[in-house]
Amino acid sequence: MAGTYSVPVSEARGAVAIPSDIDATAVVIGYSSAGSGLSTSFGSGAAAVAARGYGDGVDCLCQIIEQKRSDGSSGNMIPAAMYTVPGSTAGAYGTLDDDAELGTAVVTTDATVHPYGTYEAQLKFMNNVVVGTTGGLLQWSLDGGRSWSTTTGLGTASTFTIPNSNVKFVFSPASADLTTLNTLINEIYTDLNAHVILTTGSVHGAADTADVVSDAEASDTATRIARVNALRAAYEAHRVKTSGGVHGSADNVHACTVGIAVDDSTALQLALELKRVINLHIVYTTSAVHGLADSTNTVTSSAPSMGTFLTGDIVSVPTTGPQPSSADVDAAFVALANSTADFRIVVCAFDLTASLFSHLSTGISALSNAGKEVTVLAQSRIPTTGEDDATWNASIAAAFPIGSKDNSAVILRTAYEFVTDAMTGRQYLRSDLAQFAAEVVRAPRSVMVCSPSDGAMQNVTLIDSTGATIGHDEGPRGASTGLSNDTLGNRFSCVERLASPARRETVYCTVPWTMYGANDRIRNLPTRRVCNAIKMAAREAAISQLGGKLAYNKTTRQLTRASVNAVHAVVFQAVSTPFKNDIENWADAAVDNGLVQVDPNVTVSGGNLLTFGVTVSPSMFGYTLSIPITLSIQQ
Amino acid sequence: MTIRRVERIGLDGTCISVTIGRTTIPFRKTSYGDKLETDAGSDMGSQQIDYRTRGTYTTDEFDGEIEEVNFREILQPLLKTDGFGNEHLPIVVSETHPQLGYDSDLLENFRFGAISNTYQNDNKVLVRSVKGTFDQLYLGEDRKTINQFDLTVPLGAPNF
Repeated sequence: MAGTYSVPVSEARGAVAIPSDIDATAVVIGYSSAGSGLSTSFGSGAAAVAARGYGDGVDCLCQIIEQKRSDGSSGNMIPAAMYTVPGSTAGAYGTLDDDAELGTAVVTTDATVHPYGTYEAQLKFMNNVVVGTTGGLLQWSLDGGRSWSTTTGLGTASTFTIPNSNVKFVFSPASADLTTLNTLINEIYTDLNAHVILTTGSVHGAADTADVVSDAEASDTATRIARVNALRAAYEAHRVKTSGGVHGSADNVHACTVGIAVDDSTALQLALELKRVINLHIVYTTSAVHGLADSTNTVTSSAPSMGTFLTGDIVSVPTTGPQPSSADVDAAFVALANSTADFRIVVCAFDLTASLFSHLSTGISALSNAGKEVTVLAQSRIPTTGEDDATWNASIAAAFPIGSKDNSAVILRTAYEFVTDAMTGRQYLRSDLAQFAAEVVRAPRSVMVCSPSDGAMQNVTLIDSTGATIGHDEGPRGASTGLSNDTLGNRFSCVERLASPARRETVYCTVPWTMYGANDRIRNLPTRRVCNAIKMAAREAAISQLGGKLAYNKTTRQLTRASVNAVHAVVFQAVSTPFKNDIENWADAAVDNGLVQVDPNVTVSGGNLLTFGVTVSPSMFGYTLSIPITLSIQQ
Repeated sequence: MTIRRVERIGLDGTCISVTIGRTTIPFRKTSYGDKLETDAGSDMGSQQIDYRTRGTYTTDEFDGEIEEVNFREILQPLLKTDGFGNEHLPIVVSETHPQLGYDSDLLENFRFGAISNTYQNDNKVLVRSVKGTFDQLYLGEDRKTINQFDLTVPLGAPNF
């Protein structure tokens, strides 16, 4: 320790992020490339990325924290935390599109390297490229070419992994060249095996049987790589072998300068190198390496060519991010319930399937039992490649019908469009859950988020650069509608454009339905948020009653009026004025039929455990709701 | 209202209990109230009140008196160590009689404002004065208010 005083000063990115109230506190459940379990709350997107890496879950987290606006400015940043779930279903590649490639290289993706998230990955070659030869230049994109990286060199690599995405492209020679490569490798196999044991004419002093290769013939990528690597190892061992008099001296001149092969391109490079050095070695008699030149086993097969790209070539592949299993989701909710963290919004940044829905319900119950009343924001899948909006619409509606997929604490977002990422500025074609979550966290709890009165949804657009609609629009210009029409049993949260010249392409949210059941009265997001807050406030106030003495008539099993009034007063004060802007009957203090009603009837069970109910009946949007709380007090 | 006249029985101080939060506090006496303070005016040449304002709402100070032992034993331990005057509490003043029924008033957002006492060498019971402020008085079990919360809504026909 220096023993000196100092005040370190650093520049923070953006404003200090301090939430105004617990209603704006969110936790994202999703995949990230780094970290595990529950994080601390991050005050900036940069801190979140540094700790949790990349992926759809991190993108969603940063969108919430950064509160970027469409004009590039930032609102007040809002801290949020993340629970990283493992990607039990690994990220995957869709169908690769090389229609815009005129070169000879065959492009594939590496199935063992799993993408971190949902991307439209593209590579664009900036000059004529020969794979394996320096000088090749390319740019990459993760949003379908709507934004490009700076130009980067390919070097001698035969693969390219887009940074921070784990999307890996593999460049292989053309099919005809692979056939030629098979022939070359198989001839090297024959010729080298024949050479190493050749003693005729004193080529070798003894046969080197240890370095005879025996494996499957080269016919596909796996066998090509295996055989050429085995040949490399055998040649490198043979050329320096002097034991037993194989060679008069070691051949230290004709070493193989190419490393082991890992794919077809590097197998081709290695095969060409082996052809070169083997042909030089087998005739090498200097320093008595060989007693006689071996002119029999010369490798003569023609050389295949490495793959090429031409200037302007583009290859594309869509990807999907890792998805959690039901066990992963269960574990996440249990961990959140057991943690000391408090929050009101849980954002599930993974595709909710019909089978996962019940696990959300279980998780919400676990949180409620721990005194954490939450609203869950979830997303449906987006259309697969080639699936049109109407087909997707029908599929989503069928997967989550009212009556079997009901939970009024869940908001299911079924909206896909271009979403501008807060950290990178890329325009991803994804579910807009990340931006919707950012809006929910921003908005006061009793507000219809991104309704025309609240304001347009930021950072999203339903059209591409040509003006064509690329997302799902519940408005009059949508290709198919009805997902927000609860009369059809559809209770999904979507977006729409209005029939208004002044806001032609402005995107608003439809009514944010909850996934309510037929008998649920909490049917939209603000009602759910306010009711959760009321439950928490009433519970906190009512908890102060626990352990206190309550007077009740042992004959009638009813609380005395004084006890009823005492409980009523405490709970009423907690839920009246604090909710003045949220509910219509905030000032209704009537003891028997007002906002707070105490049931005087007491249930007494063994050990003098008193149980009675308190009902909070807020009126919102004209509907009177009923929030029951049960107090059990040991006397 | 759940108080009914029965056989010429009246209420007295033995029927009163005061609860702060969930604790019944044995006050010797309490007083509280509220009012609408209006302003009236007359035009020149008029001997009448020509107009009166709707008025503003104020509450009278809650003024209670508690015996010293009760204060030390019951009330003082419940006060927060630091800043009990900043705590918001509800007060319910209940009137309960086995024949007459029950009713209560609610004083919302009560805050302790002043606790004082006077010592002197006499035989009087030692008492402590407890005063405070509150934001809203609700009368009766129906919790009626002298002031109107939503001034855009008409009052409707009178009940008198």
